[in-house]
Amino acid sequence: MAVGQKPQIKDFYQRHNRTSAAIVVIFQFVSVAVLAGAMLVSGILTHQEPIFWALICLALAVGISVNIIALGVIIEPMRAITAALSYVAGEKSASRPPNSNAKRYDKDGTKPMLDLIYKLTYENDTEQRHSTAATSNVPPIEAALSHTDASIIIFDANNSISYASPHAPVHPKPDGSQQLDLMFDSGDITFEYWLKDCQVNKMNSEKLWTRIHTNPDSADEPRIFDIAASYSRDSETQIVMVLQDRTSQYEPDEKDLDFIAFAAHELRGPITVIRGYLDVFDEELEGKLTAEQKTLLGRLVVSSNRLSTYVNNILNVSRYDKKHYRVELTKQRLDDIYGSIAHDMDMRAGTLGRILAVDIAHDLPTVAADANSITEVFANLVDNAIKYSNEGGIIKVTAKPAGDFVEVSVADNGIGMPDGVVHNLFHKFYRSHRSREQVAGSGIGLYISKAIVESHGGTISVRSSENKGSTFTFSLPIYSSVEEKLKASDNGNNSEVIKTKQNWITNHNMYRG
Amino acid sequence: MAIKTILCIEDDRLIGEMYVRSLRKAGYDVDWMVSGNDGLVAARNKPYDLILLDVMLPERRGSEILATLRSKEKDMIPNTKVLVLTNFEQDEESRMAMEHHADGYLIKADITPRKLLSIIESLETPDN
Repeated sequence: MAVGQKPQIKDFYQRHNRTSAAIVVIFQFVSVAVLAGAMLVSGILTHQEPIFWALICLALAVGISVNIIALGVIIEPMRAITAALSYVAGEKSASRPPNSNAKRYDKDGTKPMLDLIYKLTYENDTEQRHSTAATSNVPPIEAALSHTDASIIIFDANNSISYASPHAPVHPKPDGSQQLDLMFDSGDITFEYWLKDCQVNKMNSEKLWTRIHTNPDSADEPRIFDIAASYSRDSETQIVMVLQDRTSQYEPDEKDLDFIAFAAHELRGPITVIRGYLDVFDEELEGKLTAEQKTLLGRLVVSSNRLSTYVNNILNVSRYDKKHYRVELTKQRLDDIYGSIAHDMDMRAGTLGRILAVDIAHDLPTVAADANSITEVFANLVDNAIKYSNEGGIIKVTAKPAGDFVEVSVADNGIGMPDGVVHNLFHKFYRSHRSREQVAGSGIGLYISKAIVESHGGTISVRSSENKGSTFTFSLPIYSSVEEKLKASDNGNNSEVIKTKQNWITNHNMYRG
Repeated sequence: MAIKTILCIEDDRLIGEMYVRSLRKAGYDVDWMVSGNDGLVAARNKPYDLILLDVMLPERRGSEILATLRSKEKDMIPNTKVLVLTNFEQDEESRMAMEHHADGYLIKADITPRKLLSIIESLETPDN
């Protein structure tokens, strides 16, 4: 046995066997020596006679052989017992454990001992298994989940969490029940909204969410999940939610967002200066410029304003795609929102020879809107109409109530689009073949406009006819129709924001970052 | 409340000079500091009616200055209005600005000097 190696039961028999054999051999030598001495003393044979040595050798060989055989028979039960103990102790062995039903063990009386060893071992194992199961109570599914990034949450028929696997994003409430520790994005259908829809309209339903963050107020490390949920009405497991922790995959994207935010900051510095000093020129050179110089200055102003819009679009698209984009809905008048950019829009249209006709009545119902986000929607749609209309073309911006919404339309009589491209129009980076030939653009303005409008709970659509023009229509909820919901919402402290916003001036929004 | 004195804390010299020039031309008494520490000292030493506060400042961030003036030393500038100006939008900064009772949070690239003047005028109206 090597130094430090744990002694094994199976070694005992061999060691004992070797010791016994050595004793037998020594005893046999001693016995034969005594016999030879007696023969010499008595003079029966002298040590010079060959027959003397032949008898000595024979006595040694026969004696040792007989004793070794006898020894084997005597200690065989010990071999069997040792082998059985070695087996139940879990020691590795090339030989099979002794079978207690073999006749020889019955004959030599070893069988009861072997049976006892096996019986005691079985009872002990069974007891241990039961004991382990009783104390740890770990179902196989949880043991399996602990080796993966997946979690399971089950809701009962009362929509209470009845089961959450060990690493699921839930936290206890004061009443002892559990609640989800997830922050569903307001731009998508939230879990609560989906559940309400299921309860009213569905017997069975399934829903997928991606990039759902844990609540930032949670004490745990932030995590990001992809989630699949299934709903089965009135079942004991009414909702089964399977969550895949994708933090490691999505985190690098979050770092990209930081880079884009940083890059936007760097771009915005020069834009601030260019726009600012052009504004200074526009004011201080009023009346001193020729008509042509004024036109040239106007083009500079429009271009710098567009540049600012592009930077905002890039930043907002990045945020929207990473589920960081949020809007803050407050009570707003549409004519006020448009009024804040009316001069800029007039300049953009006038610089390229378009006529902008705006008719947004002051007495329209107030809407629930994130003012700055909606100015970006206006800017994108008007810019789009300018780009895709002809010189001298009229762009009409109108608004009217429609149920619980106010509908805003931006119509041009420009080049229009064939039916085949309309359904792709709000996809990111999409630009029709004709657009690419005739007009410069990135294809993200309509994409982010759709995202913004849908984040408000509204819709955006387009009607277009080739060579006749296009009409983009978006809707925003009337404030009174969602006021209670906004005030009651505990997601994002909206009620507090509405209250605080009375004295808050912003050209950008608190929760959009 | 009439606004007459303004402290502009802005480290970008081109932007700072642009704001200061327009504000002085409009008749305001304007002091301009280019670092966080100098800005905080100036705010402590003189009761300004309005502070234009950049966020990304050397030595001390705008958020720190706002927290100091509005929380720890709130008795020193009870009537001073604060407009936070930044080009680096961050959730935490804007949340902090609101929590510490800033009177506005503005993206510099989206406003021109004339727009800034109209915002300052709006701060003087009874509604604000």
